[in-house]
Amino acid sequence: MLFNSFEYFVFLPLVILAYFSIPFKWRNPFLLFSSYYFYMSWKWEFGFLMLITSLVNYYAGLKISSSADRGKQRLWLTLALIVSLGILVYYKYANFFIAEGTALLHTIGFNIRQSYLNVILPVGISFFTFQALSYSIDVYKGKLHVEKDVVQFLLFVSFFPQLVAGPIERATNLLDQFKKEQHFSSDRFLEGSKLILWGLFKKVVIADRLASYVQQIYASPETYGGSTLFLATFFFAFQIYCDFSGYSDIAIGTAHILGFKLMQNFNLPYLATSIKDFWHRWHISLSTWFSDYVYKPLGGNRVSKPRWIFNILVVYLVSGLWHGANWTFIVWGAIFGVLYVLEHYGDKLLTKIKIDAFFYRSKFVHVLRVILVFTLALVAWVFFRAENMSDAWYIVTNMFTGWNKLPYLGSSAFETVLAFSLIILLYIIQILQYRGVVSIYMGSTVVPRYLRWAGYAMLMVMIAMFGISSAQFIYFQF
Amino acid sequence: MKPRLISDLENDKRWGRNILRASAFILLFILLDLTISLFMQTGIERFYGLKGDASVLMIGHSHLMLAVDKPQLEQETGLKVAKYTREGVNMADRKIMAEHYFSTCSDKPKTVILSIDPWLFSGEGLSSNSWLLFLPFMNNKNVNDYIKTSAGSRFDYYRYKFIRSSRFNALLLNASIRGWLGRWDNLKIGIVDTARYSDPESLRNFRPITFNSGLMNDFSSTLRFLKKENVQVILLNTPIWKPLIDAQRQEYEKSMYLIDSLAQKACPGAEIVDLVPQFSADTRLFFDPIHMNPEGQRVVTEEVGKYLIGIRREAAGMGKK
Repeated sequence: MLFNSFEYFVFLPLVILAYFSIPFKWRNPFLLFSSYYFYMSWKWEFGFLMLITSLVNYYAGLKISSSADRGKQRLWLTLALIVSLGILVYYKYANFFIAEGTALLHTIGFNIRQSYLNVILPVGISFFTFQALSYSIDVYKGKLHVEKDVVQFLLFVSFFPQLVAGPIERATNLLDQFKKEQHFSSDRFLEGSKLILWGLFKKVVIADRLASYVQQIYASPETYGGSTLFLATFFFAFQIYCDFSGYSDIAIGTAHILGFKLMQNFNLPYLATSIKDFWHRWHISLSTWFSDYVYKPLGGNRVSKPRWIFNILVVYLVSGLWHGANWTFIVWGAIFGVLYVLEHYGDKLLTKIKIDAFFYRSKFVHVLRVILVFTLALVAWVFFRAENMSDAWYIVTNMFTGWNKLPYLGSSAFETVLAFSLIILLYIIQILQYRGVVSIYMGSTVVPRYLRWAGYAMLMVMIAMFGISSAQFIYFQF
Repeated sequence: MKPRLISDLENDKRWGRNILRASAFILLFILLDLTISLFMQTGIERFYGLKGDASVLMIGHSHLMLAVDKPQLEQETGLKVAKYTREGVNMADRKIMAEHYFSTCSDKPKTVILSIDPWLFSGEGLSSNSWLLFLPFMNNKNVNDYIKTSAGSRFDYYRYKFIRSSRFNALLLNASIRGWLGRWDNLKIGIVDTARYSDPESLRNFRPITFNSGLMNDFSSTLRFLKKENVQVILLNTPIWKPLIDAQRQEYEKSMYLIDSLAQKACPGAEIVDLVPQFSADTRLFFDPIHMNPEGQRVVTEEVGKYLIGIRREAAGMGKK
């Protein structure tokens, strides 16, 4: 069931109505049932995978907390990691490893017939696996009390608003919220609805409009010139942002109506002034997950410089691999890792030659930095979107040349111009957000109420007019 | 015992005020929806020349849209022209367009130029969503019936029915803006990329000519409808780039023969104006193998204008004696 489908807009009011009408003791079982129904509407078998991952982590948590022996605790944590990651690897990476392994064997002279596993990637498997694992690791580290209520734990892993594309919640934030009785609030209902509307606008009006152009160009990049390749990549940067942040907004808005607070997943990433800043603003729940469960356990920055560089590269490479079983994702992660390290040493150099104050305070340089970070992110997005490495390489090496010809404007130039105008509209709204004039995430705002409501009504009209319905969210495949 | 939700609402001090706000918001949305759709609708009607009194009506898809310039034709012939052309419409759609135009116009046209091409009976290649372009005219009975059968689900149908702005899309917004501005310009600037089509295989696969009996019936019934309306029918075959025709020469000939024989049966007075032999070899006139660029549009319009003046003169007894 997609957030941008008719079914969801029947499902959601029914869940809200029933949830607030039934006694508190039945609410979590009801939400659990609704969440599994939501997830199993894709393919019912997937529900069992999620159930296995959840139960293994639930049981491991119980065992870890009941044992005082650190060795046994480590054993249970390892078991949870092996089973959870084993399921993830089998469904997501097995065919990739088979292909790469066979190719390697071919290179060294072994002729083995390549045969792939016939598996379908379950939606959102990376998200619920990471969410479940964070619980076991936190219990093992003593950061979290064990959850004995199996229903609450299963609900924590499967909570439908954020189940298939995040934000990846921590047990420390979400689990306790299920223990508290929530009351219906009309204020919360309106605030959540506004966020859902904004998310829906970003998804069906902007992202899906950009998708058709991007798809056309990236399907056969070699037939297009540099300006067209650049435009397609520029569009993809906004397609993926609007698609994913749109999903997150709908998730946060839905949870807010039900009385739950999910973490913010995006904070104006294309206004970032450094790569580090970018990753503090993009897919925040995943960045912090990797920081807490990969980077810090590797030693973080309290290690030697070479080791620190190694830690950074590992985090970004794993992050790339998390997104998909393809070399393009790995290279995408590697690019960000390398840029992160270079930026770190670049900043040190600026401090050393004492021009850092100018560099950080000048408004002009601030704008230049935003443009530079965005351009570097564009190069990385090429690898994220391209079908394979050779396409990606062709695009990267051609997108900044051959600008003497106007870009191809797609089968409808008007559609392309409209898409571009929508990006400008989005940017204006984001700059207003950045300057604190408007607030999307339930904050205060200086815009008069009548103007805001007129804006929301206009968003609804634009969704009705320009909305392209029922396209899957990009991050579902991860 | 009261349901929890009821007691929650009783305790919610802002409930009443928020209901009022939500109601005001819904009213605002309805108002915006009506205003915007009215604006769009008016622009679209102007663009297509609907509800007008044109003496020449052109019906077709993108080939005709880009091949004939309405203002130039009006200037050269002194006749009022309505250009009801839409991207991707197949023969069934064109039939609906003809019926729609005649049910809305204030004065019947005397001449109808109906676009024909070798793909007239090919089901594939045109937009399967072309029915969406008819949504603004749901209030027309014929169009409404057509949409009812074309819409994917009942939900979609009623969404279009009740939320008027959902009847419009980017293409229709473009048409509406052009209608308000009175602009019919061909913006397909450039010349067909010959290198791209140098491989004969790519031309054969460009859009294969096939024959669908349902579309043949639609063609015949459109002609019968026009005959009943007692108008002069011109079947206009706009230029197609020669290498594309050569790639499917046999099918092309077969299609043109079928068009001719069906037209003679359904509407004996209909005349076929074939501009392919005259212009198809001139690559400079094409934006792509099937669409004219502005220069192509200019010369084709000139030719259509001459033809219209000729037949008008003949009809008025001023033709060559």
